[in-house]
Amino acid sequence: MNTLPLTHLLRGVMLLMAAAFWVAFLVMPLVSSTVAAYHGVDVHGMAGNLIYTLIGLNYIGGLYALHFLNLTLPFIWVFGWLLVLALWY
Amino acid sequence: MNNTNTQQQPETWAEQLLKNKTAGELRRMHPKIQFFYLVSAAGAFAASFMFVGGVWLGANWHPTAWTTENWVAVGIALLMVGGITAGQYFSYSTGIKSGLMIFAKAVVILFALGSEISQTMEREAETVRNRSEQSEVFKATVGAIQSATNAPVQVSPALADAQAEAATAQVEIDACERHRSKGQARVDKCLRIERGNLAAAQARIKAIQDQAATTAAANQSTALAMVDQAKQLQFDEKQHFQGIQFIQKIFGVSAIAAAFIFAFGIIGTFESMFWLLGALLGAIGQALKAYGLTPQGRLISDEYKEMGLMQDAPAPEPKQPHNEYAPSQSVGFSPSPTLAAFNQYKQSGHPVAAAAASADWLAGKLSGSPAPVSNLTSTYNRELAKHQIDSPADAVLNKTADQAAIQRIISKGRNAGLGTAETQLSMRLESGQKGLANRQGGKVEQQPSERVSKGLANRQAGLYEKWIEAVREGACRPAVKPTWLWIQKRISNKETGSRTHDRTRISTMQKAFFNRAIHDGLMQQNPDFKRGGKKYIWIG
Repeated sequence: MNTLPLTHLLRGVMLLMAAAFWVAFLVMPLVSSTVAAYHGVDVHGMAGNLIYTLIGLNYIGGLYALHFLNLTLPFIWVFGWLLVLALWY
Repeated sequence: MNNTNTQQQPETWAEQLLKNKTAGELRRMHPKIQFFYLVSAAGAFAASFMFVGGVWLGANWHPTAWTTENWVAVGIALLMVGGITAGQYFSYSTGIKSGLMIFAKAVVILFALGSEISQTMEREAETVRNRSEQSEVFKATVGAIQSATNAPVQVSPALADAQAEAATAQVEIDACERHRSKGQARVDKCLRIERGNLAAAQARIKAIQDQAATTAAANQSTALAMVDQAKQLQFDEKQHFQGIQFIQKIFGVSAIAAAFIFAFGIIGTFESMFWLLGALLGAIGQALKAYGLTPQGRLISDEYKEMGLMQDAPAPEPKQPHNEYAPSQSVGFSPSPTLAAFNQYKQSGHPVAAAAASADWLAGKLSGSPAPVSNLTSTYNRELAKHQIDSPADAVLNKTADQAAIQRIISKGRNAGLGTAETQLSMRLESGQKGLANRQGGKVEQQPSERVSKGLANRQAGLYEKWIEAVREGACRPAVKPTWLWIQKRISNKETGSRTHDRTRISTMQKAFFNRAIHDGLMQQNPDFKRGGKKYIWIG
């Protein structure tokens, strides 16, 4: 795997972007659905949102671990799937 | 950090972490990775539970409407999924590679993949259904069906006229008797005319009713067709996520197959990261153990003390009369508290624990002080001098730090490029001699190796003597392989070949026996040694 500083920096930036995507596309819907369900608990909807928020956080953790291990190609793969997850969700 | 050996990833990572990261970096990394690992476990649990619970509850996710049976089903689903997720959580980070563990991992992974992929596909289907029901085409179709079925029943004017004419004709027929005074012929004429009118009116009524029935049948067919269309529009495959439609087009598969591929990508990546975090957590733990630390940053020796496996202070080590190498750095060969811990741990039968204990003990020996190391402070210069290592004039080396930490750094520096604790043991034995010889201009030869080897040999009190006896009786040849097997039979006789957990320790003991036998004048290296020939000659 590439261990050049540029790659390291790029992965760091992508990690921040991934965190932003996670907040925007995975956390916000969870919050909004929770607020919307305030007057009537929608267990299914809230749990569904929670699952994908946690899966998104797992991706972030995976990206962090891959960054730590300097594994660039798997890092890009997971980043791509995080984007797909965020857009799909 | 490169990883070229995919078959032994956790060990490889532990080795690389040991080489590239300091104990502090690993210690700081551990809780972060553990957080993400726990989050992953929570996500895996939630996804699997949603699927299993959904199946058992028949998609009835309204707790207020649950019956006792529903609550029992939810309870069982919680326990079952919780067990599977716990299996994932604990198996990924163990680093154990037995056949049973591989089987257990395969089971939990298959369950997790199956349930989580199904859950993701369910969610996608629900999204498609929602989007479809919100589409204008679907709404218009439903509206048309409602219009058709709810239209008020209207009586046709032509039918009403015909029915009125028929009624009038019937009245006239009944009134024809009024013409009786004018004769029978007149009555008959009246009846004939009015019966004709009645028949004509009834024929018109029938024609109109037939036409109405035909129209109604046609409307019903149209309505049914619209219902079918609405059913299709209620789950419109064109409403799938664009990524799924892309997969569908590229691979030429059905929508459900594309949804499966998509879900596999999402969940496969999730499960891979879950495993990666667990394996990395295990590797960090192993690397920290090689530094003599627990994942919580405590000294392993402190844990031994708490467990009653070790005394607080190491006992003084009497010099051995036959050992002329020992005094310079107080490297003794008598039983020590750490050795007691090592032996007790060894007897517990836990190979990792035994390896860790022996690593701890040897690390202490190599750094010139027996483990457990103390919490005294020192300077780098002072500790380097103790080890007779020249140090550059650098102010940094005058800084004060934990003496144990400095000793570990020196020990690590001596053995740069080493891996896990067990690997370090054997490699230290081999490389320690060269390293020290290089540093001291070749003045001292075999000292570190012999110190450690003799120490090990002496610590196997009785076993070394038995080996000497066996060699003298001809029960064991004084060669590497026979001696290795002889030791293995006595410390791990239930294990054979590559399944032996203590291979490194056995090799270490074999080298220690040979070094001590050479020192004791029982054995010598063959000066005429050639590849394939005898490396050692027994002279005892």
